[in-house]
Amino acid sequence: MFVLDEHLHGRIPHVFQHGYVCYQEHEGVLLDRYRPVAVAGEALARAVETIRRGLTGENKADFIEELALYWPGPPEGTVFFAAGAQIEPILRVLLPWTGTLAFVRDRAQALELIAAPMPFRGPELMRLVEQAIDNLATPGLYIPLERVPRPPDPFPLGPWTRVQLVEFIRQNLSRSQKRRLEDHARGRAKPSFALVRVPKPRGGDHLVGVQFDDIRGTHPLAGATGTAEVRQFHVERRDPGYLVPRGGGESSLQAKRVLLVGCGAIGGHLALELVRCGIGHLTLVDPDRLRPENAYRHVLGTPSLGVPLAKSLQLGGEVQRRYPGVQVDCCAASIEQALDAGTIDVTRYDLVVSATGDPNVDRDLNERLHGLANRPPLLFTWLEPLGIGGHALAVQGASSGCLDCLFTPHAWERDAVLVNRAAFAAAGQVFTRELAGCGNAFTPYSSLDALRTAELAGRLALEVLGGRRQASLLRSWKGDGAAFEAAGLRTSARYELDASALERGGQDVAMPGCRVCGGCA
Amino acid sequence: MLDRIRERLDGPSFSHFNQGSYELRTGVKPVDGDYDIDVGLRFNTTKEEWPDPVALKQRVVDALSGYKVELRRPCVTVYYQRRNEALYHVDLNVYVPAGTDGMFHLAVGKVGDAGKLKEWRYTDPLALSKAIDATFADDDREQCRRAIRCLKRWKDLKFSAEGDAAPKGIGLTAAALQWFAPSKERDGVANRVHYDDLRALSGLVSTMLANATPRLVVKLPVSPHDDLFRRMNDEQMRVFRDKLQDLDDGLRRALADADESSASRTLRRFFGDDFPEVSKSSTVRRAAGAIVSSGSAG
Repeated sequence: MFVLDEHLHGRIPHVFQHGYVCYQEHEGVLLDRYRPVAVAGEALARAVETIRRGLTGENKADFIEELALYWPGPPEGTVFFAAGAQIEPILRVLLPWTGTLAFVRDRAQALELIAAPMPFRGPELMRLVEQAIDNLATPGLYIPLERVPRPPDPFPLGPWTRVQLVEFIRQNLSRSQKRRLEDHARGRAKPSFALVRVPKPRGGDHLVGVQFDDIRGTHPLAGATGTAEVRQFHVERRDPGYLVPRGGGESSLQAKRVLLVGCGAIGGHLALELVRCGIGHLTLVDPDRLRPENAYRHVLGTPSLGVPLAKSLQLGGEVQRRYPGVQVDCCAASIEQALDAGTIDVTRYDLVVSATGDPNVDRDLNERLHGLANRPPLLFTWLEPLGIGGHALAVQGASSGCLDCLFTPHAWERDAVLVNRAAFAAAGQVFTRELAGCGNAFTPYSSLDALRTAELAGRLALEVLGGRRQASLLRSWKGDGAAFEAAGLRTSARYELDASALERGGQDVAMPGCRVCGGCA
Repeated sequence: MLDRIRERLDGPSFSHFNQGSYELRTGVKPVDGDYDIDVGLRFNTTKEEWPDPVALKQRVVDALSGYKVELRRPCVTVYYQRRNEALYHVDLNVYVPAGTDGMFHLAVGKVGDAGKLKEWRYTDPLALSKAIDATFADDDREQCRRAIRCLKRWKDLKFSAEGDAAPKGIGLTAAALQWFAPSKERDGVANRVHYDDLRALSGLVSTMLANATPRLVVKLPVSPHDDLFRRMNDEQMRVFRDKLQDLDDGLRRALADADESSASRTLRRFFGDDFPEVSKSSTVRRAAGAIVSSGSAG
């Protein structure tokens, strides 16, 4: 649908160059394919309504809602830093391998980006890259506007003037932010560009760029008498604050810190999924290297086999390569060593997840953390052989019940044996197989089993981090037992429970007599 | 033995069924003496065709010539022994069906009895079993049976077998039917139910004591609804009550005892030396299964 009257092109919201009228989003629209005339009639009516609202000024705020569309200038680089609430100095860096520009938080992030595709990162090479950053980087400012109640009136058509731009920025800042802006603009490193965050009236935000060249006298952003050439530009957003909600994640999780112990089949999937859900900081702990036998059920796959680094380091690299805005720390040690050495302080995390699948390591971790005053929530996840199922247990201070409760027999149980009460496999069986003799024993399960377990654990982790789940809770998925039974193995009484009830989870984890928590509220 | 009767019996055909503690599975190994097995013989005839119940019983005795057999007033008893030592005896109860309601007539009387003592007595030999089945489900019923066996062993051990000094086993069984409450807890995670027999038995005994005011009256849950302890005289009842009180105290002591070893010693005083003993060393449990395959992986 087009408007022929050139006076309207670009002057009212939703009417663009050449008169194209955007009266309806494309996505999610279902057309009545057997009533084309009705479709055309309705389209025309909507276009007319859009123009009417534009002419009367009813939808003026849509200029802000869709500011990026009306912002003139070329695309000029990619945003990687997390767009926060504070005016901050940022850097624009030329990425030497691609010749593109990147907007980053600081030198460290620049280094991280430049190094990401490098197959080898020796210290000397990294020093060279670090030195090069000074030549590749330009200082700038990130300016988040607080709220933009109305667009400039009249809305500028074509490039904005220096005065229009500076006014637009300064008018939509609080007094204290304005002072902060002036301090930065007068600073030693004169910002040669600004990335401006413009909040949309209906949620979300835009990031748009302004370039300042040939600055004379005071910086124009300082609001004084100086002059400069200004030029507008666009950016491509890859900052987590933009990408995470687009991917269905939660922006509020950006600030959350998660410690993930165990980077095997479950941990590998879980690390990536937690990041995709919006977790902004991940610490990975695992001393082991990926073994070739496990490559087909590990997220890293065969390329990692040739690299002589622990799974934690490789997984950390993979997470950062795919999601550069995320902070990842790696620890190629066992969790016991890391805790003993003080390398890791669990109280600095919002959630501790253990996906080691080793009940002895997990029970040790459970006991160590139980005694801590500011213990974060704990989440244990593990799976069982041949696709019969997997489990996720959240242990939280607000309620009774811990991992050791699952290993505590009921006081009335006769002939109690050492067993996990949550197990789907009946006690007293051997589940491991051997590919090639001693030391090669492995538990048969598939990548899909690990993925499903990671999903169960991931969802529970989000509920715990979001504060939606405050009690201890055990959730399990129950698989088809055909392969398990075909292997001559027996299932437990728990396996008889209804699958949806198991997945919904139960809070009756606590067992009186538990040697770690006592099993009482 | 049943084959033998079928082969040689000069009389109507019959089908057989287990009854009594054998059928209820509440039998206990006797302290002294032999096991008692109750078997019902349901003859395909009527009391009108056999007006003298003893005549039919005599046919059964005759078929068993060569066995050590005795025609007693309530039944025909066959004794089994090895090297002159009694192994067990089988009480054969002779019935004819009574109408269509699943009830029976029991042949009562022995040779030489006056006509008044000989009768076809209207009865339901499986009533108690049916009542227990209807009252307790599955594992609860098993716990109830274990409690009954404990009481019966206690009775064998603590009372004289002479006369009516001891409470009858069927009386203890009916008491359990009336007052037993299962003691169990469900483990929702493991989807298992755990039973505490000691707690359940202690509960039953204290309820029995609370109802002994001063006589403990327990009626058969079916016709003729007679009090199963009616034959005990007041002195015998007083002794019964005192011994129940001892048992109650002992069970409470064992329940409160954190030391399984000394608790088991307490219980052995009431249930005899074949009650399992927990020694000090075996209190440290699970020595055998300290390394097990978990099946967990990550």
